[in-house]
Amino acid sequence: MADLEKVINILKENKVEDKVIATFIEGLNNLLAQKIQVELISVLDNEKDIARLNELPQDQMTEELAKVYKAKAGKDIAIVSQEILDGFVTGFLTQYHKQKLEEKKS
Amino acid sequence: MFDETAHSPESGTELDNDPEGREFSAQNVHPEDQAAELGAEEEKGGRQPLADVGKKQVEVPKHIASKGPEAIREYLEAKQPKDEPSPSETPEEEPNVPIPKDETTAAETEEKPQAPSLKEKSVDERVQEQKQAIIDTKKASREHYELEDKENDRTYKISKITEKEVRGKTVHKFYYEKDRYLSGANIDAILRGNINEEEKKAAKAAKEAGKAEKNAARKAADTKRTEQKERYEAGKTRLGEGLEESVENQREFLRAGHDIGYELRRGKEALTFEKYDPEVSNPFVFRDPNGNRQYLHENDVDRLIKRRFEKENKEIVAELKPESRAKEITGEGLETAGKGAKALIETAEKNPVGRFLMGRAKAYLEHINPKDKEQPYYWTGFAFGFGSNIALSLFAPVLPMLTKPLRSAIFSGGVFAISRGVNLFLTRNLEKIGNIIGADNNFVNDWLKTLNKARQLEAEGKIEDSIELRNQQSKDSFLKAGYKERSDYWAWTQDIGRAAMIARIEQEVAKYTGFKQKLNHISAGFAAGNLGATGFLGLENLFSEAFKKMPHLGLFGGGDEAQIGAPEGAGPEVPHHAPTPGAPEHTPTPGVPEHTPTPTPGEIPEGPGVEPTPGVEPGEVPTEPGEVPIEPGGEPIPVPIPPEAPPMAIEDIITNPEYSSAFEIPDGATPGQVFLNNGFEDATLWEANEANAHLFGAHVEANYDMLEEMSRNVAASGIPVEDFPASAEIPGLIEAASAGDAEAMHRLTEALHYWPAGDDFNLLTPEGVQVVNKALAARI
Repeated sequence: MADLEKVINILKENKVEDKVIATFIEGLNNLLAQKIQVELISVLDNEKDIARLNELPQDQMTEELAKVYKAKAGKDIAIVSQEILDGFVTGFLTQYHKQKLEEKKS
Repeated sequence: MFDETAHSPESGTELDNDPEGREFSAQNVHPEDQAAELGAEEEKGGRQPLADVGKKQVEVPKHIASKGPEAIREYLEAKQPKDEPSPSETPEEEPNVPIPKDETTAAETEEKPQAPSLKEKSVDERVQEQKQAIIDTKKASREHYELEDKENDRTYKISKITEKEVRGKTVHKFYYEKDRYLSGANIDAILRGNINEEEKKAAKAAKEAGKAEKNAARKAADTKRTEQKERYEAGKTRLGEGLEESVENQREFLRAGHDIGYELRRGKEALTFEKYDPEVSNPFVFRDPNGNRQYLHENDVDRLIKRRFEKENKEIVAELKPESRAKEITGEGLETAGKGAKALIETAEKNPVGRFLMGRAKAYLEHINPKDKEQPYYWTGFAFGFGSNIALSLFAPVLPMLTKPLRSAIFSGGVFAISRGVNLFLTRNLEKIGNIIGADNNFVNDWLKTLNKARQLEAEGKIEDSIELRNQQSKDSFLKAGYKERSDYWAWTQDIGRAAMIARIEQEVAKYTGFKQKLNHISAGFAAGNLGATGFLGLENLFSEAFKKMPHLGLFGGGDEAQIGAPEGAGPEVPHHAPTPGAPEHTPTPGVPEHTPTPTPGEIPEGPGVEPTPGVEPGEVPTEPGEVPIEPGGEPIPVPIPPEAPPMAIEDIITNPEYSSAFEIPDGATPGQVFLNNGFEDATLWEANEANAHLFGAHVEANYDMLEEMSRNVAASGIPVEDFPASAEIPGLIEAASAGDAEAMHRLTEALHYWPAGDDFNLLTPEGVQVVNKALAARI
């Protein structure tokens, strides 16, 4: 959130309304959710995995799926999803500041 | 020097002595020439002439000679052996100079050439000039004149030239041996042959030169192509490594003062980035392990960043190998992973903003329908790392001002980057594609490199370069696998990849509804949990408006708590004929009286002056307007033709609740899916038929201003969009699409492609679609 705050501040500096910023964050959240979903689906190699997880209640499935992900991808999904968000923020800030530098040069 | 001392009284103007008197060999002298001379001798009463024919000396009988030159020529010609070998076949023989057929006598040829064509005249002139030059040269020198016969590859050493008048004509003899000479006509023929030979050589040389020129041009083109290819290959390698731009980005990132703590290694020493100080000459300030400041120049920073990237690239490549992943699959940490995941979701659930975002994300994920033509592209986009425009459209409100940073964020920043799970999926899918098309073992690795670079290009907004790169990679793969040349390789690759993806979603994931819903919950929870991992500071204020707008979600106080954390099917649904949030159940439309239904098509309005028709029940419409059944014994009763109801204005239709309602566009929802959810036939496949044409066309018209503005905004942000149809075009497009015109249908669906999430959309009822179409049809 610390860095996402920087993004929000940039939006405010650009006179983006609160309502629009809220929509932006919602859009980002949805994008992340879908990305994470793709990540999770990606490691399910076969239908057996899905069928087995399908039998579990929500909390148990969450834990199980996280374990399957770690086992196959070698990393915690919690960390990976944090990295995805960090990547988004970093990418945004990098390009934004680059753009600012270019504007200053010209 | 010309021998002027040698002068024979018999030879008149003979320039040199004839050592044998008039007895000289006429070998190789043309019969006409001989005849002329013999005739002249005859006139002088000289002795019987002798002439050589071939190698044989021929005696001309007196009675022939007395008849004059013509008779002598005929005689000699008759004597000439018909199978006489050609000069070229007898190179060792005495010269046998071919004489052009059009020449008559030597004298005529020499002194009075026939009227030739311009080209021939030019050659003749040159011949005469050269001959004169020979005569002049010989006059000026006692030395032999070497006359080269280029055609027959022989050289005559002209020792003397005689000249005499024969019947008023100057006749020359060119002696090359003591008793052998060439006549003027022979010389002409030799010179002419030389000229021909020279021209042939010149033509050949020119041809050779042209050929050489062509070869040189071809070689230059080949070289250029090779250079281009080398440049392309080098570029591909560079792009595949993805270092150049990445290094620059990272350096600029540091320069901008971000990424404090970024670590670079100089030798064994780890340097940690502290700040950028533009006041010093080496402005990148790092700390070494001992806490000392290290000031680095930009070039050093670039070098170290590059080294770090190279190391990371190696690690990524290693990660792609299944055996390296296998090593990581251990039981250790799995429990932690499970607990961490649960904790992340709880983070979201404990906070109002988190709950709100989670609920919205679940609703968003539930809208995804693999059958919907747009959605598989989106999913494939994640897997391949593309789908830029759709992803960007999530940020439509801020796009015009922040397109570049958003592109960068989405692509290079990780959302579309190749993360671990996607690595697995992508590799598997690429393997599938590779298997389908029969590609070799390098297929997957080549593709991974290409896709990685293509994503970077997209992040930089270089869409065309990215497409070119992907297309080239697709082309290479297909051609290498023995496929025929075609033009849409990337589309083909995507189709194959998408088919694999759809198969996965439809056949494996969608089969288990409970699994899908729980998966949505987990994904939404992780996303919202991450956003709030360090607190949802300040977000409450930003979302206050949204909270007010969404009371039905029950997210805050006393609402339907089951919306959050519910195991199945609890996500907010797209409202069916949803009323505008906050609006009363029934809003009277201004100008439309209560309880006064607007006439539907085909309905006859009741009105003053329209009396009930006898025999027709009220509301019943005669089958043929203007007529009623004739009562027995009666006259037909004319019935006034009812005036057709004028088509309604679009503004009136969209404000009439019977025909239209305001529908807030959810994130990620596609028009086809929304229509399907709201009582229309399945329009997610965009087939060109009447139902779809009327449905899409009516909604484009009903939302024209909003969609047109959206299209303009998207275009202004640099995303390529298709031409938005002019209002006047819509009726024609509907008509054409109804008749099965796929292109017209495409234009209608494309017009609805960018609809702004969060805005109100005029969602027509089935009746509303009809009324709008009627209004549009009236325009044709």
